[in-house]
Amino acid sequence: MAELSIQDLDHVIRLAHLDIEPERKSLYLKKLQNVLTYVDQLKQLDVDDVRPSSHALNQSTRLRDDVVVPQPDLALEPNAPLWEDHAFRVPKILG
Amino acid sequence: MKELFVSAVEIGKRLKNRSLTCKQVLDATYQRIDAVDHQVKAYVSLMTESAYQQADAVDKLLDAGQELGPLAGVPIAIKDNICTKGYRTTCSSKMLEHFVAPYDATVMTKLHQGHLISIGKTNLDEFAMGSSTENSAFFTSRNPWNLDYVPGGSSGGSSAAVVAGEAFLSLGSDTGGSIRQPASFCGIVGIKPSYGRVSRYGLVAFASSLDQIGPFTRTVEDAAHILNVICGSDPLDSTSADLPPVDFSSALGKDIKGLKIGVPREMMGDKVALDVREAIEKALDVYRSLGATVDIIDFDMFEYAVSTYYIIAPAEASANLARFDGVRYGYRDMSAKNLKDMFTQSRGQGFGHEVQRRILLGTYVLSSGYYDAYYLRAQKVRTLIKDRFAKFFSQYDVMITPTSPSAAFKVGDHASDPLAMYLADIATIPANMAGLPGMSIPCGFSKDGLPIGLQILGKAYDELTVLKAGDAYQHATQFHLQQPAMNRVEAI
Repeated sequence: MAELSIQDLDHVIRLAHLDIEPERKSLYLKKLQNVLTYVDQLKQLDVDDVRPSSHALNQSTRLRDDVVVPQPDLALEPNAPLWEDHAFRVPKILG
Repeated sequence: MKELFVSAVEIGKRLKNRSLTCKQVLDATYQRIDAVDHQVKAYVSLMTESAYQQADAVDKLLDAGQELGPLAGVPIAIKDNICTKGYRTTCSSKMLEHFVAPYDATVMTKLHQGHLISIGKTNLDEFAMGSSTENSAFFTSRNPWNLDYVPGGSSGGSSAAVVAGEAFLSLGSDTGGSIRQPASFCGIVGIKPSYGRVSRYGLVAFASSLDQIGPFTRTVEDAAHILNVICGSDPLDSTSADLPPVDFSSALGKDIKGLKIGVPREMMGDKVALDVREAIEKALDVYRSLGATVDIIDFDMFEYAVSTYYIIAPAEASANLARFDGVRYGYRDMSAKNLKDMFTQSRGQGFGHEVQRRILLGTYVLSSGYYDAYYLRAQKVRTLIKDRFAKFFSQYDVMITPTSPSAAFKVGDHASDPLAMYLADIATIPANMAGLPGMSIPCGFSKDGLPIGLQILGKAYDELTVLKAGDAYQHATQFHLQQPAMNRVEAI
């Protein structure tokens, strides 16, 4: 497999919305590379004609009647980092 | 109270015949927590107020002669990734350190209906990612058999609490072995039911196609009875299995003559510690003496299952943990100047290192250009693993393996090497991939005096055969009755 570069890692860090200190990045890079090298063993298996499984068991999706049921109080305010006028307050979006 | 270490069914009988009250049992359990939890560190928080209210209510019902289930009034500990209304549910993460669950998980509602007393929330590896509790943002729980060793993980607080007499039973969750491996390390019973048996509503999601709630108990008999309480279809979880109720206690006390056991050769080779292999060999002799047949077979899927797991689980985790953004609940970096910085800084500071690594790994294997090479291939190998199990179970009733390749390791031994930690789950991961029920029961001790676990896997939804095999073994052996030295203190 190709080596995971620091540019690859930076790209994934951006996608994952994580702020990671520069000195930690090189540690992560090495550990992630080790895992990717290990999982490379899956290439030994011929899976060309195999269907993918997204679930363990072949269950059908359960549907319920489309009716409104009472919801519990979600206690939004006590758990909110910043709550104002019945809304979550966040910093400015642009800039 | 000398009864602190008896089984949950046994304490339930004494509550029922009123030789003990729920309040007395609860007092004794909290006194035990006071006495030992500064060493064991099983609990993140206690639910004292609601526990005493419940105990009082159950005492009144029992005093009035009401017919309640066999576990009514018994104290149970809850892994801290299961939502408990009005109490903190932290996932042992800084991200959720102050989060108070606004509703009960379905499994909590079922415990109330079964009249069990929920006494506290137990420590775990952050967001259930780990095998030792060393990834907890708060502290590392300790193995009551030897406090220098880990209790296993991720549900290590739940396993340690049960063996140390700090709860009669507990709930955990198992995504790749997080119930069975700590049960093995702590010398108790831990069962992961089939995927869909227990509702996941209110379980903080790690990898949704793999996660399953299950119990830790001191005996297989206890496990059967608590499964009767927590299993069942749930309209709030669309992946819960729509199956008729089963009386799991019907598996108890049964003859296992003719039971067909298959043992994968790869889990009895030099990847597994010698003392573990020897303990499993002796257990297989017990099974032979009970009339079961044992075949050593080639399975050749365990290592592939580990690789598959470390693609699929992080991929699902990276999506599930995207919800922690500092907007609605959880940790927020209040110094962020704009919304995007708030997302990245809150997640950068709120998540621990292992969680961040797994989010990054999951994001990578799902990203453009790598999806087919990693995620799609892993999903295909998952099919191969399921097909291999289907073939196996067309010939055998159960599979037996060691639960973990070794007994518990010392705190710090694997902390810097995630891959070594991942391989500790090699025997348990395949059951999650295929949705199968799996149970660990104690079957011996290592050269260092730490417990060794035997894993029994069954067909999907066939917990009855798994329980039958485990119960028969416990009738023939005494390993489940052994106690660590800390439980033999005269003062108890």
